[in-house]
Amino acid sequence: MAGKISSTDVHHIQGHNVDDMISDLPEGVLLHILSLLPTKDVVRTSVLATKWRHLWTYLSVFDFKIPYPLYNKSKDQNQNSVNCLLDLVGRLLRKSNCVERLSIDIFEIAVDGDKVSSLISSASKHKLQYLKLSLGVPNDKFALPHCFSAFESLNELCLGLKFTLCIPSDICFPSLKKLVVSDVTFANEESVQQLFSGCPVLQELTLYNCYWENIEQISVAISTLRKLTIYFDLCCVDDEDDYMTVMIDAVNLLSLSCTCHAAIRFIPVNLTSIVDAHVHLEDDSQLVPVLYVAHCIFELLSGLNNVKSLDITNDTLECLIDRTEVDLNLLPTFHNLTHLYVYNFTDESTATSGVLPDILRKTPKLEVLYIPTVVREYLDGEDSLLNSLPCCLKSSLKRLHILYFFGDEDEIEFVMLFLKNASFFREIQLANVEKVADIQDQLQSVGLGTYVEACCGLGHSRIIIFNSPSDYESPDDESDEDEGANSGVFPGAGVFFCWFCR
Amino acid sequence: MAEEKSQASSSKMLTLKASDGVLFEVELNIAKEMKTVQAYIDDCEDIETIPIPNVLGKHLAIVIEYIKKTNEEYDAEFEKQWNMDDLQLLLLAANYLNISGLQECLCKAIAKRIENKSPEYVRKVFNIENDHSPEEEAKLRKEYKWAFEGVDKD
Repeated sequence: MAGKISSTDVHHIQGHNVDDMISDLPEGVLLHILSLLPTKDVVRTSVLATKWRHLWTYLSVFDFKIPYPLYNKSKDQNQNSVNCLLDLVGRLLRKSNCVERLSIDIFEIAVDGDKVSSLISSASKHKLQYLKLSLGVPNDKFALPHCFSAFESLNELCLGLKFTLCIPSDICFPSLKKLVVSDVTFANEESVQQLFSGCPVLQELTLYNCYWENIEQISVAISTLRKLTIYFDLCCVDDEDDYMTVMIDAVNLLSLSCTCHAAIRFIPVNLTSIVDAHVHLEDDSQLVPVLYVAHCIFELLSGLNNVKSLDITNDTLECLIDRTEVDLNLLPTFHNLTHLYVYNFTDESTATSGVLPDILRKTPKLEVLYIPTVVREYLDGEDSLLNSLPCCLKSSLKRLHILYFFGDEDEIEFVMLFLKNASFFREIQLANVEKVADIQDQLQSVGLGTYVEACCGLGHSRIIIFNSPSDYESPDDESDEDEGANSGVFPGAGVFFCWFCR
Repeated sequence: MAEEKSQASSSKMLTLKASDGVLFEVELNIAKEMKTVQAYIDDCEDIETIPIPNVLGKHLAIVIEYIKKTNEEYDAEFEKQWNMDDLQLLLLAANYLNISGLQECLCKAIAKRIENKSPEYVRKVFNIENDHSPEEEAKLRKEYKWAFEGVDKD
C-alpha cells in the first residue's frame, strides 16, 4: 500500500486533538479506502473539505452508471442528469491522466453524439486498459471516432452503443484482445468488416444481441481469434431480410458458442484448432423452411468436426429429424470428440432427440455422454440397422449421465443394454431420480447391487453405478461434475449449462 | 459493493492449479495463508500460476473456501468491536508497522461504514472540518449532481 507514516507522525497525530485523523493519513492509504467504494461515493468526497476536492481524481478505476431513469423525474430532468454525468466524466478525463478502467453505463435515452466522441477523445490520452460504453438509443446514428488508434493500452472494450453504428474504414484498435459488441445496430456490411479488420491482435469476440438490418453476410475472419461467442435474439424471424450468413474463418479458434435463431447460416472455414463448441439453434417460429434449417445445422456441425467437446441442445438436433432431406451419414467423423453434452434449452425433461443415434455413429472416440433421457431408439429391436449400437460404446465410452430418469421398464432395459455392451464403462449416473429406493431394488434384481450409490438431497436424487470397487471408492482423475464451473473439461457453455440441480 | 480494486498488492490475484488441472483464481492474501504457496512466491516473484501437484481440485476448493471463510468471519467480528476513532488509529498503526493484511481489513471496514452516506455524515464520523465556502460547496454539488442522487438519509 503506498504511503507510510513515520513514528513521529503517528505521535504527532495522536497527541493532536483527535479530530480529523483521516485527512492526515498518507494519500496512498486514503486512495485505497476510496478505491473500495462505489464511484458515486468517491465523487461525493470532493465536497468534504478543500483537501478532498481533487483527491478522488487520482483513482484509476471508475464506474459511472445511471442504470434506469428516476421515475419521480420528468424526461427533461432525466436528460439533464445524463448530460450532467457525461460532462462530469469529460472533466475527469481532461483533468486526470491515470485512468485505467472506465465504465459508463446509461439506460436507453438519447445522448449527444458529440459529447460521446469528445469523451472518447479525452480518454485516448490515458493508459486505458478497459473501457465500457453502454449508452444511446437505437434510432440515433453514431460514427465511431478515429482516435481509438491512439489507445495503446486498450486490452478490453465493451461497446454497448445502442445506436446505428457507422465505423470508419481506417479504425484501428492496436492492442485490443477482447471485444464485446452488444445491442449495436450496424449500418452496413462494410462497417462490420472494418470493425473486425481493425483488431489485429484480437483473441476474444462476443456479439450479443446485435441488429443486422439490411446485412446479408458478415465474415469473422480474424486469424488471432481464440474465442467467439455469438448470441442473437432467439425471437422469430419474419421475412427474408433476417436470413443472414456468418462466415467464421479463424484458424486459431479454440472455443465457439452460437446461440441464435436457426435461420442464421454459419459457414465454418478451416476451424482446425477448435477444442470446444456450444450450439443452440432453434426455430420457434416454424416460418423458416425446415430444409433450409436442416442444411444450415448440418453445415455448422460438419465444420466443427475437429472439436473435442460439444455442447448441443436437443432443440438443435431436432431440426435434423427429417432424414429424407438431410442424410446424416454424410456428416464427417468427429475424430477428436471425447465429450458430448446434449441438453434441453427450455423444457428440461424433453426426451432425447431421435437424431442422436446418427450422431453417435460419427463419434468413434467418445468417452463421456450426457443426455436428457434414455435413448429409446436403441430399444427398438437390436436387429434394426438404423439403431444399432454405436461403436464408441464398445471402444471408448466411459461415462454416461442421464439427466431425467424415472425408473420405468424401458429405462432399466436401456441401462442394462449399456452395461452389457460398454467394455470401458466406469460410471453411469442417473440424475433427478424420483423413486430412488424402487430403482435401487430393480437394479439389484438384475444383479447390479454391488456398486450402486444413491445420493439424496435438496429435493433431487441421483444414482451412480460404478464399474469396479476402485471407481466406487475414489472417483477417477477426471474432474468431477461438481466443479463443472471451474473444470477445463466443461466447455464455455456458460449461462445455458444448468445441469445439476442439487 | 466495491468495484474492481486498484493495483494495491494485497488484492493481486494468483492462479493455483490443482493436480487434476482445475484452476482457482485467488487473492494473494488467501494464497499466502498456505505457507507452501508463500514459499513458492518468495522464490519466483512474478509467477502467476502455481502448481499444486498433490491436491485434487475438489479438495483445493474446500481448502480455499475454509481460508476465505475464516478470514471473512474473523474480519467481520474483528471490525465490529471498534468505533471509528479506533479504526483510524489502528489503521495508522498497521500502516506504520507495515502489516498489509490488517491494513486491508481496516480499510475495508472504514469503507463499509461510509458507503452510501452523505458528506455530512462522513464529515461527522471523521471529524473533518468543512472549509468550503457555501458558494464553493453549492457549485461542487451542482457539478457533481449525479453523485448526490439517491444517497442514504442519515
